[in-house]
Amino acid sequence: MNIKIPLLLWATSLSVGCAPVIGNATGGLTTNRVIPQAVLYGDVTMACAMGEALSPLITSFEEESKKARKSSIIAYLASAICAEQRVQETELGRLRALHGGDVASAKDQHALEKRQRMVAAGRYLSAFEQTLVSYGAVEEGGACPKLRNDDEEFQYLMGMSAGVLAVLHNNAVGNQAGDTSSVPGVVLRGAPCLDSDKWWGAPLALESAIRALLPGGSQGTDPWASFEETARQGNAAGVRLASAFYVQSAATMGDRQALEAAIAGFLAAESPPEDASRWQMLDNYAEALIVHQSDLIWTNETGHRTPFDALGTYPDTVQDTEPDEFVDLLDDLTGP
Amino acid sequence: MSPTKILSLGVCLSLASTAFAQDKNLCVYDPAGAAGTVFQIAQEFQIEAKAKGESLKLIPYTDEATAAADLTAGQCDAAMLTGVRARQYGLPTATIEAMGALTTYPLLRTTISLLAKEKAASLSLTDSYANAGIYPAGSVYLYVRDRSWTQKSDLAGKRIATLDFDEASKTMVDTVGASKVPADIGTFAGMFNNGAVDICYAPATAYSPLELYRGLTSGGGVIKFPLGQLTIQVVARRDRFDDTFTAWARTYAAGKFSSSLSAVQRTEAEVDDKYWVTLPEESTSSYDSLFQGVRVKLRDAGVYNGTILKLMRRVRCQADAARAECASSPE
Repeated sequence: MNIKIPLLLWATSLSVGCAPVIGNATGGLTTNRVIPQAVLYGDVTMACAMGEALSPLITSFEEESKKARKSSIIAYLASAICAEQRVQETELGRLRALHGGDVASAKDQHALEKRQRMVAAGRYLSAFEQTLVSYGAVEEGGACPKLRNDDEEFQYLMGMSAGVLAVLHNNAVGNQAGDTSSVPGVVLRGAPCLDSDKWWGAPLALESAIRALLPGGSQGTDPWASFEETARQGNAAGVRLASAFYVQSAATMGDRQALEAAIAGFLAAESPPEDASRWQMLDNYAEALIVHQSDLIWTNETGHRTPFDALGTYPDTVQDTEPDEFVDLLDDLTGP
Repeated sequence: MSPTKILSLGVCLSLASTAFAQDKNLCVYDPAGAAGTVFQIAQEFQIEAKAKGESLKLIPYTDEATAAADLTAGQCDAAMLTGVRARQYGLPTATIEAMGALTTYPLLRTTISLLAKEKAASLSLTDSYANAGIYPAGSVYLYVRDRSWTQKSDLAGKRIATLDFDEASKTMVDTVGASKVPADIGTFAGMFNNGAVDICYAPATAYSPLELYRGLTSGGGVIKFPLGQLTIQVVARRDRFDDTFTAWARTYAAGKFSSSLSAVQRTEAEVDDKYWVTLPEESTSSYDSLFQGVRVKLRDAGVYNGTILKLMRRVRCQADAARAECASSPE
């Protein structure tokens, strides 16, 4: 008897039957061990590399495993951060080239920037879509999703954030990275399902970001007042995501005054409470977003990014010398 | 002359002019060498100087005496040295580190800023050397093995690690009746930590790298009254750098005060809170008076520059006109 065929059938049924088990194990391991450790450790670049490496593994079990689907939200988001970092560098490269008058290089960087934005938008959109698959989209007048614990609330918050970022990147490439037209509405209805006080003001800041971006989106509310309050909340909690959304929105709207105020608030934050350290990566990511906005200003005006340790200063306000009113102290000390 | 010889002469002349455009050596004293914060400041300065037409080659030195010797010998075209070491070049700006003269960073910033003004240029020049920038390196404090030693009288008879080349410190130690124990930058911390001396003085930035907490143990303290301000000064040879460049460099350095200071203050924050000893008001006045006396003595001995002392007094009185010295002073 040819034993190969039964063996083959047995192996196939085993692997098909095992997929949900392996998927649950992989998803569970990712959610319960890998992600908390990455968030605690705080290294954004390492986390994004983890996302790029793990996404294919985790998402291969999306069909069979709820846990894998849920953990893929963070995996996609983390991998999107890698693409976003590449977007940021090409954006600065474009501005540097422009400042130096190198038109060919500016065009080259611009083209590369858009390609990277496509990737970033696509990954953020995948994270957002997985959130909707896992938890559902809140309909007009509908109920909030059932979020059973902090892990699920965190996934939901990250998923909503990914949606906002997908919109920003997709807008910049003429909406070629996918359909993000329904994202603003879903985020506006979904973000309030989270306790903004518990999550460092970030859910409300997300809402404000959408309202500030949409024409007529404010609907009688003042997103800028909301940004100030949620940024204060996040800064005090030591997880300054709300500040990052504030800075990003101010930059998008061209409000330099609001942007500088938001950065000043970010920098003035007191030492974080001890429990903030478990979210270190989020705070570091917020800082990276804010530093990038500062880099854009500096590169645009000087051709180089923010000098090291100079976040909160600007090219036109770097003067550190005392005003000339003290020059009279030199009278008759220095000869004719 | 044949065309070939003319051509050869032309080539030789152009090669010679290329040789004059080579880098100038900026010797950088930093205890941590090329990995230290002073070297980082130098790297930023190098970039900005390039925009001004000066190509600098940075050479790290972990031994300050050697850096100074190489500057004197002409191997360095300029050097970044502490103010106390820069004194040997006769630059009045070295007096900015005078004992007790500037007890806060705002006072230091004002003074550096004023010295960078065109009106003060003569105070940054000697026949051979120019000051090309002053950077803050931290307030200097007394580290004592017994935190109750807060009065001037408590210092009498105590053993104090004293830098050999620092006339100001030697005079101060003599004035309070303490014993000088010769030391240098590489040995003073070990002497304090193992109890060979009772007291040493150092910037707060030395606390962690030199593990001065070992010498403080449980009963010691850091007297929260700056003895003076340590600075890093760029001393440039005037036969290598023109006065326009060094004037620009002074202004550049003054403009970098905050960013230079922030690195210092981050390190100062590492001093354990429990070690700081805040002096009562009467002790502060007593130390003020002691240091003024030391400054005058050193001025009269030619160590401190009198014009700089006068300027710093004006800066102190501009900030606080109620000071006793503002009514009358021997400075």
